[in-house]
Amino acid sequence: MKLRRQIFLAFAIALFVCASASTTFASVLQTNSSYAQRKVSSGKFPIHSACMMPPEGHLAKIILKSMGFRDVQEIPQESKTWSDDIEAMVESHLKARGINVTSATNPLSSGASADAIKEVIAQVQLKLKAVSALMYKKPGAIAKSAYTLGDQVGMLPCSENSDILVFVQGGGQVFPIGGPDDAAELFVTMADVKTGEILDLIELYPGGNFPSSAEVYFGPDLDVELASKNVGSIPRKTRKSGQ
Amino acid sequence: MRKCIVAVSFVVFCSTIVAQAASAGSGAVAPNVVQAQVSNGPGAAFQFTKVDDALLADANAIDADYEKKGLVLHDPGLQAYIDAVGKRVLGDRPVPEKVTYRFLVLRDPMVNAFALWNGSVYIPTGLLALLENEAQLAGVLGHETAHVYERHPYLENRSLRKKVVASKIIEAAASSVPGGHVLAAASAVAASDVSTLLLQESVYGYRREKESQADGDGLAAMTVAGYDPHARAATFELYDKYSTLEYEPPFTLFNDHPKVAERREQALAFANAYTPRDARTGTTQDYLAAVLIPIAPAIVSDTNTDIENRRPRTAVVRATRLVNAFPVDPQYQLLLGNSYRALGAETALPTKEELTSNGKAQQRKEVLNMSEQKEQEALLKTPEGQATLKENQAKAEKAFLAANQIDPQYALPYRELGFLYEDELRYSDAAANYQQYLQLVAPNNLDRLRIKRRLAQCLSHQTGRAHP
Repeated sequence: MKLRRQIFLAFAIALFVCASASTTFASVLQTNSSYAQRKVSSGKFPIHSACMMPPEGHLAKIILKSMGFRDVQEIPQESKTWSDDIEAMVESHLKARGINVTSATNPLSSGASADAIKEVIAQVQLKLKAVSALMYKKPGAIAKSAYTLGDQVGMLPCSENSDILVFVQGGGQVFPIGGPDDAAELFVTMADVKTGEILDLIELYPGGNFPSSAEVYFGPDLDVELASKNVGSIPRKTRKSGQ
Repeated sequence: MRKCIVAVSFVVFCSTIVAQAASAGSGAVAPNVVQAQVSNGPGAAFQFTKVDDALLADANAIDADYEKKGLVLHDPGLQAYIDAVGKRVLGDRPVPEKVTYRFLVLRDPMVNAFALWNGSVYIPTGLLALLENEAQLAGVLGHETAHVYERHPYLENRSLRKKVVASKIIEAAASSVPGGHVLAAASAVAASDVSTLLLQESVYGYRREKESQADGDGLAAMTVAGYDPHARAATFELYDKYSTLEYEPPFTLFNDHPKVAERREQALAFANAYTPRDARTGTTQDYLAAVLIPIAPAIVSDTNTDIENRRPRTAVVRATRLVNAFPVDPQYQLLLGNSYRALGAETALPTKEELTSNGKAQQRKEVLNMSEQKEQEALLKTPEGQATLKENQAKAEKAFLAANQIDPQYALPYRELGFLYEDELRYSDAAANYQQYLQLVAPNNLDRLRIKRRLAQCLSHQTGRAHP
């Protein structure tokens, strides 16, 4: 009986150590990745215009407490500023690739009220959330057209003049004193603005210290991902040669 | 060792009930015996510490957060009804120190009520929509208030604080929280990790002994209040049926949490022994009038959430409840039609095969590994799947046509009929309904653009040419 308990305890401790170690390594080793449908990278689905959904940036402040407990504090003001920052950064990179950008909140010529547009945006965001649960787990299935937001995305006024809908979602944790544990990630999801089909997902985990500027932190990696898939009107070769 | 203690306690509990039932005679009233089982908790024996006070502040923060986020449903009529039932269940027992009992309706689709340690009892709209009468509601309130009387959250908190490993449990718990549930909102509360974990325990259940104690106390309290405790057993039956509808990631922090069937048996044993002759249940009609009318908009929202989140069976159950209660409201017929359309090739109730352990594993695999489209494609590969799709499409059409018949000027059923006919490749019928829809909606309606696109596609299918 005593031996069984000791074996169990040893096993539990080993499992705990492995789990902690794997979590730590996973966060360090997470690398940038992107998943796109072939029609995007092959140019069969040319992207000349994009409709930007309102950004969703979420920053949390981590406070270490005694005995390994942690407090996670919301920092809404900083989150709002950061959201605007990551949106501006993504927008500028799309523009740099020759893509016209419109905001999803823009009524254009629809004559729709701001409230009506907000309602559609909320519906579309909820749908993305529902689809994301599986999509983030199995992003490779994007290539097989496995995920769609439905053609309700076509209710957005910008769908008339755009090719894709762009979702910018970021998350980050900051420690009061800063340091190597500060980290942020950025997900850029692109969907066909007429059918809602998910075309592309870019996941960026730059690692290292988390500076205040989104451009410095994410910009270079985003540029590489966009160029590798030929997104926009600037051909891949031109970008690579730096012209 | 603990299993042995639990087993012995269960045997003693059952034998006590059987013995008392035998002495009192089946169905006979034993008010004093039941009254004696209503616990007031540890009372003065529970002394507040600094740690407890900090936890109390967290509970108040959670209350404020729900209120701020608009999650608490305020309807004077509904509130008065729930307060009256709650007050009856509490009876004249002394209110514990630093507790103010408040019964609050939470806009949330889940079917678990929960109580915070400061006395706030949250009853989600999802649960209210599932219950059938006042006695069932009383049973739920009896159970939740018992956790507060017994100081379970505080005791659990003291126990958790001794375990550093708790922080790891929190991480595991947070990663398995299903979307759309109240915990998503709760996670935003700036409370300590321990109180977040406690909130999860409040929602998903405490350890076995605490749940069993609350079950016993709750049954006694509802019986003393004059309600029929059989209603509690019936509630467990409802939970059981509901829980088999869809695959949910299993969420419990304790693997010794009592099973629903076991709790139902205990409730039945209690009810057979102690139900007073004049025990009340309340009629379903009265319950619906008091509860369903005010929460109907929340149920509509919950049902739409179910549809969006791959829970079409639950959506059908909720929409059917609304249609049965309000058969001449076109909005609910529309909702029912949408729910059947969302089912696609899936059956409305789980098949016998799905309820087996192999079937459950298969369902788990489908939900966790396949997108909705891929799951439907797989179902449609079988003749049964194709037959089910036709059956569900027929039911959806019937509901949409019923909505049309009730109010021919209501635009949405035409659009949904268009979608349905497009699924069935009936392009001409789809086009006719889209045209009808476009005639009825306002010129600046945001939906016009996509319906025009769909209409053009349907027309091009008819004519074989691209339509502008």
